[in-house]
Amino acid sequence: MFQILHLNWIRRLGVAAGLTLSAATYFAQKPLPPEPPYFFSNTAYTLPVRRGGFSLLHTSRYAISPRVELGFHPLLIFLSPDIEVKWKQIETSRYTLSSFHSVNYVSPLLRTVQMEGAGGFVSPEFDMPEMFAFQNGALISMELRKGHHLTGKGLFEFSVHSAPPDERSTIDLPIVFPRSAVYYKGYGFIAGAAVEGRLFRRFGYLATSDAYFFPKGGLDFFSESSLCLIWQTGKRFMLLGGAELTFGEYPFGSQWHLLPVVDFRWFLRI
Amino acid sequence: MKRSLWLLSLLMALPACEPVVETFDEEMPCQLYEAGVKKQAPVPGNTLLVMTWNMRFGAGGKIGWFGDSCGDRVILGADEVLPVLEQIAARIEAIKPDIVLLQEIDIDAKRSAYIDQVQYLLDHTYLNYGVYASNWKSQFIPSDGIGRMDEGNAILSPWPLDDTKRYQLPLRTDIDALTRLFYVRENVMVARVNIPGADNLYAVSTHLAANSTDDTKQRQMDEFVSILQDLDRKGKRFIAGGDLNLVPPNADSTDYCMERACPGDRYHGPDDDPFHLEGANYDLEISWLNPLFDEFLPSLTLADYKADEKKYFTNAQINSDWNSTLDYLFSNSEWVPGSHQARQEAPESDHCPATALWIIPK
Repeated sequence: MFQILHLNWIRRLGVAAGLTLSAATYFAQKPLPPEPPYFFSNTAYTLPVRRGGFSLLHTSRYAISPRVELGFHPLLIFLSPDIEVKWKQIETSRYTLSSFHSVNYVSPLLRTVQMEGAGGFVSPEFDMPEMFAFQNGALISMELRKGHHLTGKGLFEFSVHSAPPDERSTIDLPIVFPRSAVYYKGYGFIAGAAVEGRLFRRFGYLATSDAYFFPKGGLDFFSESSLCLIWQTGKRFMLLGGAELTFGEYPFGSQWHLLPVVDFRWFLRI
Repeated sequence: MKRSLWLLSLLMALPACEPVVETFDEEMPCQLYEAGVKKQAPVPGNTLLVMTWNMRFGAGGKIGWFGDSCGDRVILGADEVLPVLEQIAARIEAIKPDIVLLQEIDIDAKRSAYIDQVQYLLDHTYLNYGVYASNWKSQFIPSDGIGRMDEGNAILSPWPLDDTKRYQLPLRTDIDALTRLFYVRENVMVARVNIPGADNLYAVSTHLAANSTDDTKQRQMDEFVSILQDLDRKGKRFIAGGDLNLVPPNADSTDYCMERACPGDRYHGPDDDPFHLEGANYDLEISWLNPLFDEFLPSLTLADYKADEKKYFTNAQINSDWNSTLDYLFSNSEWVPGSHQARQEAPESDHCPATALWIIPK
């Protein structure tokens, strides 16, 4: 005997996301004066002061000084408050090196999706403790050839909590699980690389590959690789579409997933 | 070159494509299992002991799982599921059935600690071979924290099983399309049991819809009967059973709303909506088992049932007494008269095993 699942909220979420993307595309078409090169990916470079690069699904960024850029997630900021700091340390003609620091308080988000019925990603039977995750590391970017930039990153992350979370409360999904594993595993490492550049006319590309390692209790490994097309619709607006291939060692075993990637980035002076 | 890279990437990624929800073909093979270490199969006598059991995914008869009882539990730990599986294996070892028909058995579900219960039972009993057919398979169910799910029916035996088929039963039509997408897809599974001296013998396991309030169960029953008729027409002997979620046509009680109600629930009052608890009233469904009783041989005759109903109850609410008969065995060949037993001493599920002796045709 099973309870009925009411899932109409998925339809509503899809419609809302579609409307937001359409509106953003329309309003970003005005001709603009020349701008510095913008990147969709999180490079070691920083944005010009008081410029922001805003997205829907990826981290949004804002430069508060020539060397310091802040980052936050536009959708999750209210339920899973996070703040990232990218601090440019070394800038030479060959490469740029920035340190990266972030903190994330995930408990309110997990409690929000802990519900009976539709939208219940986590069972309400678990007590969700206060949990914070910290990331520290470095980003290094260089121009491979004109218009094509390579970024490498290495991060160490760890978590602190008021009590250990119940191991059964994990959300065993790609993208989500590797990002929440640190709360259950205690610490982990992230290494990654991204190449972004121009293809032709207003089109560019972004190829990324990230690996997550969680050594505690037997090494767990996750990888995410994406290949995307970037359409620069205006001087300060980009649309991104492509696919992401993920691999993960989940509580049920290993699994690959192929997922669509769609987002925009809107660069504004504020 | 760039285009080639794109295509190459997509081709590499394609094998990774797996549906979020498995919707199943109308007919498809079942999943085959073997015990890690094979045991000596017994030498069959003149009869086979057959058992059907809805094992409630190893949740036992006491844990209040939210979906089938008044509890609020959703995700059980291995420390809860493994002891129950150990008891189920011990129960099977004690009863020693030759053919085991199982329902509500998980092989890859978050709610039961991702334990492959088919493999567990094969590795912890004298049974050597198994076949499994999912009826609820989703990479993620975004409701109540259920998460990943793979639950189904199984057939286990000490003897090899082959020539398997999973038949899709009609889906519930009293729920909306999106809910139906993530919901249970009941099946009938068939496998040939290669027992020395019992040629052409097929085992059939099924589990009909539990909570439907329209004619879904009748349509499923029609399909089930049609599959059995087809086996019969082709000259195959079959032993069919499962949790049919229907009470016998001559049952004294056809309404279990009050027995299954949760504290605070109200039914049968002039202002009560719904008037009946979903899936607990059998008034309109009371004749739906008749085709099975009319066309095939039940291990429990309606006369035997009527003589002592309580003795044959196979279903209970958690922490309460057995109060209804939902599990049955049928064949197109003879049973040993009076051999049907509801093993009510077994507390490992909200259903108890039902067993009967089947006569191997000469």
